[in-house]
Amino acid sequence: MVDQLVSQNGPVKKIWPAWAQWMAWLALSAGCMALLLLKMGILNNFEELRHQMPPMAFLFTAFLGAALAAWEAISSSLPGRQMGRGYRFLEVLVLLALLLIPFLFFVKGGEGLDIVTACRNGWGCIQGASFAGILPWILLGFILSKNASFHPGWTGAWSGVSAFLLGAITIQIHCPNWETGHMVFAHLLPVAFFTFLTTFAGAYWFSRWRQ
Amino acid sequence: MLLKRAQAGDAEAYRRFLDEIGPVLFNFVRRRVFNQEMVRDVYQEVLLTLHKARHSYEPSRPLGPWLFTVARNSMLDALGRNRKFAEREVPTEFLPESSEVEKDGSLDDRLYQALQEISPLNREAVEMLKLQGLSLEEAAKRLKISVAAVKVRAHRGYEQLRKLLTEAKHED
Repeated sequence: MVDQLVSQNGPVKKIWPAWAQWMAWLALSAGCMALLLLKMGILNNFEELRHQMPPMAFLFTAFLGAALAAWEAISSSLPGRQMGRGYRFLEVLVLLALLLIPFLFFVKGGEGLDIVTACRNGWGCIQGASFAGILPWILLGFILSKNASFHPGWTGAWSGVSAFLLGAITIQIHCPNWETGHMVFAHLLPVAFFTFLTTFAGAYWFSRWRQ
Repeated sequence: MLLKRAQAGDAEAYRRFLDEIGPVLFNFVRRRVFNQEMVRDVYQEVLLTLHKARHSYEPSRPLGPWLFTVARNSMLDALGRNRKFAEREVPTEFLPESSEVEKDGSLDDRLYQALQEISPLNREAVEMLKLQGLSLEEAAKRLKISVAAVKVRAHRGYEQLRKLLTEAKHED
């Protein structure tokens, strides 16, 4: 067995350190977001929103969630680098906070949450958030496929959370509608949907190193 | 250091690395796999996975966490797969006629006798590999099971044969 393995040994393409993979992906994704926003344009009153706490808290929390999830995806694909329960707890806490922020700060008085209207009016944003997340996910997937994940489904799920959260941020900066229903169903729901899909896609893509 | 050189294609360093970690990994597997007949198969699976994952080791980091994460996960995968194979195994009532195992003088009487006493499923695998000279792939195709399952059956068969022949020797 050892002889066989030794005879098959050749120079292998070494992987980048985890932090370098993470930084590279964040930089590339930021580039994608910037290009997309240049093409689509940012909302007119963004300068005004920039000085308000709730919109900035939402965007910052979403970015923090995306960055943490990307690190989780990368570390879960490198043997011996898996993060502990504490890190996952923090990640879940950030995602819960992100989900709560629209309900805490963006509910308008006297208005109920009209899910159907929010979805109907938000179809363009759902498409936009999906589109904006696909390229970052492909970039992250390409990086992760070079690693050696033993839990490819989980790696896929975290990569989906990360990439499509960036997509949600991009659309949020472009879209003038900052109402709770619209934010949750048109901007954040695609994140959940694509996370489901990337779990299965990741289970296939990130286990190819074993073949 | 050895693995770093192995990553660069140094065969000698890779051999030394495998020689050094071999006993460590074997003990790691032996202590965790209760079915002793499967230890060697699982160990081989661990080595194979380690070989495929060798690119993922970062030389700047300690080897231990990487090594044992690979070992633990590949061991669990191998055990899971073997369990699935075991669940799919269907006992065969009758063995196919096999001229090679007939008492024709080509086999030692004691070995022939022992071969008749081991379980039919294991005997079938041993006969195909050792008497009929089939490859693992050919045997797997003929038995309609995976190569790993053929290995497991043959390995169990050898163990049973060894035990029976040792007992017979003591009785003599």
